Amino acid sequence: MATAHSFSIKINSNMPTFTTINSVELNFKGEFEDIEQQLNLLYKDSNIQYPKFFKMNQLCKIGFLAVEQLLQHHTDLISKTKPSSVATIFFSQYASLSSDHFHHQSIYYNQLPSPSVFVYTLPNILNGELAIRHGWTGYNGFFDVLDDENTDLILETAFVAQPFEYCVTGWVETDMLHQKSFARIKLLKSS
Amino acid sequence: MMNKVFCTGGSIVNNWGTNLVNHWTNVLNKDSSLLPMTLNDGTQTYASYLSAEQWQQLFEKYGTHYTKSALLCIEAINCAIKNQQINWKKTAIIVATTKGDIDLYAFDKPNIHNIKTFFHHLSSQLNTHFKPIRPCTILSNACISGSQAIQLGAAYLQSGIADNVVICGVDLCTTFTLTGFNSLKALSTQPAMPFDKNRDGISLGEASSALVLCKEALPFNGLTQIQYVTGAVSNDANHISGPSRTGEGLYQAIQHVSSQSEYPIDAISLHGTATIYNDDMESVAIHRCGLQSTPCFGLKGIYGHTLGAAGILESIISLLALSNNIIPATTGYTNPGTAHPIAISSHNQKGTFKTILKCTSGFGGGNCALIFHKN
Repeated sequence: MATAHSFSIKINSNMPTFTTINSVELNFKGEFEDIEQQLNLLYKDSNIQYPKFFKMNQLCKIGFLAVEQLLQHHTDLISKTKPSSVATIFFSQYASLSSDHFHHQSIYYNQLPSPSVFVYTLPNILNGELAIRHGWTGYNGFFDVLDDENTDLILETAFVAQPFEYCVTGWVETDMLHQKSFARIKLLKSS
Repeated sequence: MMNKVFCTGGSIVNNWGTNLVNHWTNVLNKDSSLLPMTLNDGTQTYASYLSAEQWQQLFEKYGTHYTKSALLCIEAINCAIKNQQINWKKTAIIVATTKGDIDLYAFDKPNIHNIKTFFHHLSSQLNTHFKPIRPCTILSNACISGSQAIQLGAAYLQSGIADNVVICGVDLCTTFTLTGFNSLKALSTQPAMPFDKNRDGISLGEASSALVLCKEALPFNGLTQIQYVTGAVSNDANHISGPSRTGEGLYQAIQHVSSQSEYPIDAISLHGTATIYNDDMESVAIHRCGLQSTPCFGLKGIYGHTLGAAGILESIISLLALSNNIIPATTGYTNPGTAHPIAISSHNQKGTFKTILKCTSGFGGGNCALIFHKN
């Protein structure tokens, strides 16, 4: 690998500003299956009736539960907003790694690949799951980034491209390399 | 008032090579880059992919340390910028891909060996090669990635982040993707037949494609001045892997861009994956928008479904269609057979085409509509 190129350009000052309405952080550590169990327990404790949860991959499960908490005290706010004015924008480094791994497993062992595993090898299925759950039809994007250097810029330019009233955004990760999964998300209002 | 955004360079890289004039001639001749292919389980399908010799040439040209998706991106970007003075200190890169270098993933090896398969490895290769103004951004929103990256790239220019933005889409033809689509029973047994009544699924395509966006009003590839007008992204909020029966998301995206554009739409480049459901959905959405008489075409019988590259590759052909005032025939299409009749081109149509709508839809419920206009 060649040496990394360094970046020093500041973001333009004419960028939109957002107000953070709420934020949620969920952190899990352990083997993939342990985290899976912890997420299932959290789902049961939260008294949500949404059987589709159990079909989701880990990235979607953690994103889903974090968004449930994020909106818990803001349901009125969101239900009064036009569905096309709510955006979802996520950032991740390992994206759909766990589902990629399991799809590769079926190829490696020459097993019949599962369509329900394959579909989740697209990281933006998280945006799709949230759109279905909450009826949101607005801007939806899933970006792969190494660190926070670009995330504000992406958020702000996505807003320039297509303004939203509210945005559910943040980091989601199922990081099997380091045995952790997390979601650090927030609800933004454009001002 | 937003700055105007111009499309100033474009390229396509697939098994036909990089010569864009050849690509356009092949499209008008109804040639197809799809080849017969047999999967491990005996499934017969068609796909477009580079030959071993073509890969060898790319590795020799740029170096064996690059991954395949990086090689395709570098080649596409170099071709797209060749007629233009690009100052990389004022240029940003956005990459659109669904799976990047997923073929390098080794299930039986410790995860650290798989670092080359991750998106950020593709990003760092391009950062090192081109040294753009910002770390290159990777957008992975299934099949709308390419179109959506163009919409975001235009906003980079309008926000003053860069003077030029190069948007590059790439996806490889991998066992990973082929077995996945096969498990969904979505692969065609014949070269894809978009919008035809006998269509039976997708053909996959391996390609990269790059588009240069610029604030300066330079002509597209030295041909005609073409403006990116506007774009919109929507979600069906309906199903994670099936399109909405009412075409609601695509309808909303088209309505959104139509409301923001002063130009009547002269032609439409459709997504046209050649699955029953996608093509029916598009016909419903086009009807609901009152565009059923507007000439439209699909390119997946020629290039296959190039996934993350599709929105960019098909936009490049759309820009050539505007430049040449020809709407190409939809290769693979013979007999109408969508839920609603729409004006699919069965032969090359000459006319005056100034404004084109590009539609894309994908898994996860995403839809994207873009408008380009020839001045």
